[in-house]
Amino acid sequence: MSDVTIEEVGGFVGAGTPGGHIHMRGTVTWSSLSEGDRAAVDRLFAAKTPVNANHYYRLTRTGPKGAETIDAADGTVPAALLASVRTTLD
Amino acid sequence: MSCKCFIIPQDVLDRFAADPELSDAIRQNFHHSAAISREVRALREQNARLTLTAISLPFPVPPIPLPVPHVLPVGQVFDCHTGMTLPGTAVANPGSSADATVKRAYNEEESVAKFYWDLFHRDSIDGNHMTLISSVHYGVKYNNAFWNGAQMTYGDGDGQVFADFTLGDDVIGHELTHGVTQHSLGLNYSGEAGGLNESLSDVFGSMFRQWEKNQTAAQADWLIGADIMGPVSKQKGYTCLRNMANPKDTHALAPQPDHYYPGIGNLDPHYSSGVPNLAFTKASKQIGGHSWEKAGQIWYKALTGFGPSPNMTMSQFAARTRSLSTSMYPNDASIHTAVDSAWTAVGL
Repeated sequence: MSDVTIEEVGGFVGAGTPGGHIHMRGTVTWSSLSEGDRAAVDRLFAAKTPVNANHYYRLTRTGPKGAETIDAADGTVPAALLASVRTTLD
Repeated sequence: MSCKCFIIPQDVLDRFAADPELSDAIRQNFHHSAAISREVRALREQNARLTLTAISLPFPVPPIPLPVPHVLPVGQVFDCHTGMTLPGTAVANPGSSADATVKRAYNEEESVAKFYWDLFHRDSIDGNHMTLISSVHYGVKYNNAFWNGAQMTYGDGDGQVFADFTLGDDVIGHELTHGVTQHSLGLNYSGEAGGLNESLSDVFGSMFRQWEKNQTAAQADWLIGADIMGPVSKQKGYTCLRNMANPKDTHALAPQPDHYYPGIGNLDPHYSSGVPNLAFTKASKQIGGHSWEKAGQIWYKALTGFGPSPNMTMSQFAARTRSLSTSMYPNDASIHTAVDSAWTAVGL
């Protein structure tokens, strides 16, 4: 499994809009995640639960099935992934 | 809604239930545990669906007798101590806290409640005296604030790109208004409805900011997030997160479109909200006076007067405000003219 990228979406800031200058993203290597965190991420990708919320996270990874992207609600993303998010300006 | 409320994940229980290296008795026990867990999870998800359905139905809510004079709803503040578990630790007497962030969160949430009562006769977020809950010091140098469906949450900012998010009264007004929308128009966070949802929070967030400063529509800067810009953002020439009066502003961290086009609903709601934001700003300026006196009343009625419409389009919202501008101010055609021309100017 490839690295997992995480993007923070929504909230007051609403980073990542077209032409926007602010980005909130992070990347975590799959091997650095604990077994529990990997299982939690696997469950999120398996469930693919639609999110209808003001604030959530978008996760992307590449595996045997190719690139996959899902949206994950607050409270479901492992702390190790959340901690990787950094704010950048361009 | 995904749930991580079980200590032992379902797939682990299922795996042990099928493990040939375990005894029959142990496998049977895991099989029973897996079966029970599966049903409890289904029950919890059904409960969540029931709650969502219940709040969407037009059941009449018996009014809570209000004391005279009106008492503001209870405001609570919790301290997350840089953790990310909500709500955090309750703070006693937040209004007199030595922690400026706590004190601000409390004072401003109460002020928003007063704003909604004094100007719109709305009793708290849900119109029914709901307790206001804010969590502060969320995460480590966390650069955001959000409404999670039940409460507000504020990060401290990294001190570089963003400052403490409680420093922005429009931030607090914006987040609380998501709660108002949830309990009234019930707009989704996707499609054109998402853009309307975000716009309504910017509209009432900015209106709240203008109300606290007693500014007219002409005096207001209509900037969103101006008070939370950190030194790095300012150094790069950014003055705000969004500009309601000029959505394409290059000094905004997140410029937006200023004209409607089909397909705009496919984009992030924080992007598409630029169109209805500009419409409100134009209408307010053309009407004159304070934004909450007429344009704000029309927008509030459009938001709260008709029940849930989760997938409302921008065109439908525009039509509703046009209609209200006539019905609410039948003796002043200039109000309708202002609202109508504002929407026409943004392509709706």
